[in-house]
Amino acid sequence: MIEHLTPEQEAKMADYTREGIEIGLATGPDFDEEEVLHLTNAHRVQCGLPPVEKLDVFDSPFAACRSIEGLRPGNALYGQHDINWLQFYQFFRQELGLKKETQPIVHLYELAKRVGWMWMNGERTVVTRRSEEIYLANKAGGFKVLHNLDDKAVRYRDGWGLYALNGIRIPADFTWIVTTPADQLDPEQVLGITNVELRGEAVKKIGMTKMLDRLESKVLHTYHCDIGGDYELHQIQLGENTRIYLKMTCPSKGEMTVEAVPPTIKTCQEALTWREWGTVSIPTGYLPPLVRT
Amino acid sequence: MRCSRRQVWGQVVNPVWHEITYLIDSSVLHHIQVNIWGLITFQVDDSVTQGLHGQMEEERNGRLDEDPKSGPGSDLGSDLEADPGSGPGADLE
Repeated sequence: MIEHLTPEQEAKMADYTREGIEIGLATGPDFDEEEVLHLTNAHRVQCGLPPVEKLDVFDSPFAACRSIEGLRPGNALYGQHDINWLQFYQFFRQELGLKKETQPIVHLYELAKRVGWMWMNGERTVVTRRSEEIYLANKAGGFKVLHNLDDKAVRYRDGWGLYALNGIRIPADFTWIVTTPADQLDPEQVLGITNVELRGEAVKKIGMTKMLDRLESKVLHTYHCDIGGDYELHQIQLGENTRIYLKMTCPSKGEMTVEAVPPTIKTCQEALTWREWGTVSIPTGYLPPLVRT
Repeated sequence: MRCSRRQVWGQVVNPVWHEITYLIDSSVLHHIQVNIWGLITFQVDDSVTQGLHGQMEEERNGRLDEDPKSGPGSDLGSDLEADPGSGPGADLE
């Protein structure tokens, strides 16, 4: 029984994680079909299936599911996207010497380095190529998320893929947020997006200041909090409707956000009280925080 | 005869997992699981794989709306089954 890792084994875990992420995010549509046929057939035999003579190759998982009845995303083998658990076992195999025990998944590991999603049944092996392009943005903690301000964040060779901003997938009805250049996005349309995350991404793309400028907002009130934080109350005329928004600047990160507040609000303090309590009618009135956390 | 995700887990992955649990202390297993499997999941699965699933689901639903011949159960006859969950030892909970 292995009860602890050596310092060398411990140190190598980060390499395995890094390599696994590289495999999982790798692009490159081309693979050696003979090699992949050999690997998939070896896996088929492992599962008690007869080998096949050729592969059914598709440019994307969507193309495969659209073309062959019965294929569904949930029953695929994910190839490169199965690397999380395959790399876990690879560590046991390579670093803890468990060669025999992990032998059954060797073929899947080799396939993960070459292809995307796969399906196998008694008669056929369906293999999809990896995506051609993938765009990522850095996030806190050294992690990356899908992000492309102008086009698809994942694109397969056949053009299929998905749009994403800061890790948030953009549904079909909202891809205009991505495909419209920032200076042509309609701020009024953006403010009409009910999904908070999507609206936030659209506002970020336009830029907060430009957004308010283009809506010809009128500043009703400003407030500087002594322990940090600047606030502005903006009035915006959207058609016949007058909307009030509180613009807030985060004292630590400098990021700006805008939130809608009720139209009866007249000051930043009232708006902050409303955010905190859901009403402006509290006995003490607005009490600024004693410290910023 | 089939080789869906469920079969792969049942026939290939789970036996490997069982063997390993006899050879490696559970705290060591957990440590490796968090630091390799967990971190890769966070980066690859949570970001890309789930995004692709969402996109395919959305487009599949769109197609079902457009094509009355398609619909729930229209792909029956398939011998493929639903996702059994993911991760090593997923059926061991």
